[in-house]
Amino acid sequence: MLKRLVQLVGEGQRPVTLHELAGRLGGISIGLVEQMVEQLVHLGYLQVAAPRCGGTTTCRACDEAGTCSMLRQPRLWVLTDRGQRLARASIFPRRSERL
Amino acid sequence: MRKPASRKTVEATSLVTPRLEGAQPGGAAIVALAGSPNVGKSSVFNALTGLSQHVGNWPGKTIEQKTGIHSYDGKTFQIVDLPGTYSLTANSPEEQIARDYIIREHPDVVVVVVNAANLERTLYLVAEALELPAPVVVALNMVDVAESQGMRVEAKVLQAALGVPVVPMVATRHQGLQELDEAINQVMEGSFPYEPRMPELGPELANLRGRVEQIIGEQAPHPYPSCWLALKLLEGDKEVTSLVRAHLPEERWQAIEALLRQNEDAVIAIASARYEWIGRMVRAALTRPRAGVVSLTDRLDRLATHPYGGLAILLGLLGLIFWLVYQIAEPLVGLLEAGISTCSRLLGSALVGAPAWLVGLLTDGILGGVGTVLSLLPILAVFFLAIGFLEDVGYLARGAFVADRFMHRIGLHGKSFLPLFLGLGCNVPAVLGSRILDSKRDRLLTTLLVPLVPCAGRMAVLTFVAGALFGRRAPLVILGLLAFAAAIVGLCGMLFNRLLFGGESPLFIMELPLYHLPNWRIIGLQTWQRLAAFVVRAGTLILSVSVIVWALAALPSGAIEQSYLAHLGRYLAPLGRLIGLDWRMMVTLLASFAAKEQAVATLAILTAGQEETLAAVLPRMLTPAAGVAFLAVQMLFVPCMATVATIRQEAGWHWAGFSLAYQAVLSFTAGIVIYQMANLLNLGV
Repeated sequence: MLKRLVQLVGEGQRPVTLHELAGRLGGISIGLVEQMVEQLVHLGYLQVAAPRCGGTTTCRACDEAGTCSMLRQPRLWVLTDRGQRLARASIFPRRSERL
Repeated sequence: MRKPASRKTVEATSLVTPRLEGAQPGGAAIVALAGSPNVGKSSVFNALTGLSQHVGNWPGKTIEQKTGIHSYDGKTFQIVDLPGTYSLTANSPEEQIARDYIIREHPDVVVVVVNAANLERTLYLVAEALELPAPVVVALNMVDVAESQGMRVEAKVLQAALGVPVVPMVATRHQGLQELDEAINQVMEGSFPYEPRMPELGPELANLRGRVEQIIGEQAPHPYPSCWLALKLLEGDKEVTSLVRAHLPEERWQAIEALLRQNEDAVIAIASARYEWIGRMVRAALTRPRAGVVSLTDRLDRLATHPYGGLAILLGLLGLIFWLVYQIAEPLVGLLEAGISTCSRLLGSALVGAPAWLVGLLTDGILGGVGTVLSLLPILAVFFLAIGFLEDVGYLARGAFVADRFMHRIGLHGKSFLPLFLGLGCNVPAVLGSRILDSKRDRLLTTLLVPLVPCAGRMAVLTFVAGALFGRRAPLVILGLLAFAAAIVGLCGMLFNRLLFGGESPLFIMELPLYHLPNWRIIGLQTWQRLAAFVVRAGTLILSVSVIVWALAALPSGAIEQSYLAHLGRYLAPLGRLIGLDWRMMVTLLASFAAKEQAVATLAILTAGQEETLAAVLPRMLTPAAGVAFLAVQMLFVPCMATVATIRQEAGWHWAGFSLAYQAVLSFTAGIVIYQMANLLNLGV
């Protein structure tokens, strides 16, 4: 199922939402998709994308310095090189399937 | 049937040896309580142990250890509360403690507490617990919460599917405790038909595991079962890998290492087997009466994230924002402008007799420049409120998601979305935000594109000028400009990606927040903070540059047409003529390098001395074609000083220079093309 998730992320021509993944993995809950995503992050197939712009002197020039902590930015996860390899292997199993 | 194993002697090296003071040695059966966070494990522990609790730390750790005594049917159980964990893969000290305890101390029973209202998420721990050498009882807690959410878990069906006892409970109300006691007792006595159905690995994976297990052979470090060690090695468990490596002879380890190297993605197959197992359990036991009922979020998202419908909504909302800006803010801007004009006249009257340069500086330079910029406040207030509202109710993420589908096609990295999204507020944090990108290529590509995203300051200037020039049609003009900017970002992204960097961009997963009612306090606070930042900039940077611009426009003779600024402007006049702009408009563009809002201040200074407000003067300075060309140039013109300084800090002088150069060329080219096309077609000239 994790392999399928990586494949779903890698095969499309556009980003996917957790909601879409839950539906395409057979109607599982969003919570379970989140758990799978977290596991893929831990295993190095996905990477969390989070802004890291704090702690620099440039904040003084930044209009958003006062509202930074209030921003509700969506969470993103991106396929790592390892994830992309697995996605390609999933799409072309004959070439890369080893198990 | 698997017989529950008896407790074994603990190895001397064991880190975790829970011995409750006062417990009868050898007399109390040990029951370990495992569970994920928020499943009500503490409620179960408290309900079982009452006041007989002992709190300390796990040996060698700063993690709290709770133990207690529980009696049932004349028997004494020593209850050990294991740290809350989602899995047993030693990702954290808590997980390591929980699994080491079960393997090394070998409790008589492990009670895994699961949340009936979040069954799928909490069953992963059960899947892993079943692989450990201790009998498992599942405490299906919070069934009341599940029922209140319209879900029903069939405990008997789940029990049959798992092959281990499943006890429905509401621990907070002490419901199901008696049944839990009975289940623990039955498992310990061997009277329950304990036949756990573990995740199936599939023939190839099982074969691989068998080969690793075979190599480990009899040399598995005590007390770890070799089949479990083999599984954990295939999962890439660092702790187990070090342990096995330390215990095995070198040639055996090398054989295992070769197998692991060839099958580095085995971990995915193992975890997948567990998730498929969870899926089977849930399909068997979980009834969702509301299945098929589409939630409001689902219904809204079907449209809001639709590739074309979503884009239409995004454009519609942007149009609505600008319509609101013009309906609400424009009249207020007019009032403020008129007020500033009156103040300027009054100040001029009050300063009769003062040196002319002082009167000019105060009325034209400071009140005319900074005052006119401050008249943009209503535009920014409506804009910030609208964006804050869309952000807070959860729509903005959808809008950005829809836009990103198109951005991705031009080769932008999925993570570039966040910095570009931030750029709508201010380009400085957007450039800094590109640090989230790991490769230099992606960072540079994003950094170069961020200044093309119109920040709030740039939008305020465009809104003001478009309003003055196009009246009711201004929202359409602004929407057209935004679409033009999006197309330019796409085109530049594609070109830079192909010509400068190359390579493909990975796709991503995005979490869309649930829609919810707006929190007006947060929206108000955000708007206030952003407006305060704008006012501070108007009172510092824009004030200083306005004074310089005024001085250059007044010196040496006091006549603007003979001023230093006019000389500078005339150097730019040939280029300006191609866009239909006179030297004052060209100087205005240059001044916006200090801060985007400076454009309005500079225009006000350069048109000072007239009876009308700037909004009334502008239509006489620009034909509609020249107006659109000016707006396009202003939209794409070089980033402000602060953004350039940030690009220099992040990417170096040469890329900051490149950013300035390409945006200067791009903006003037766009202006020339628009103006000349309009001339050719005889439109608005």
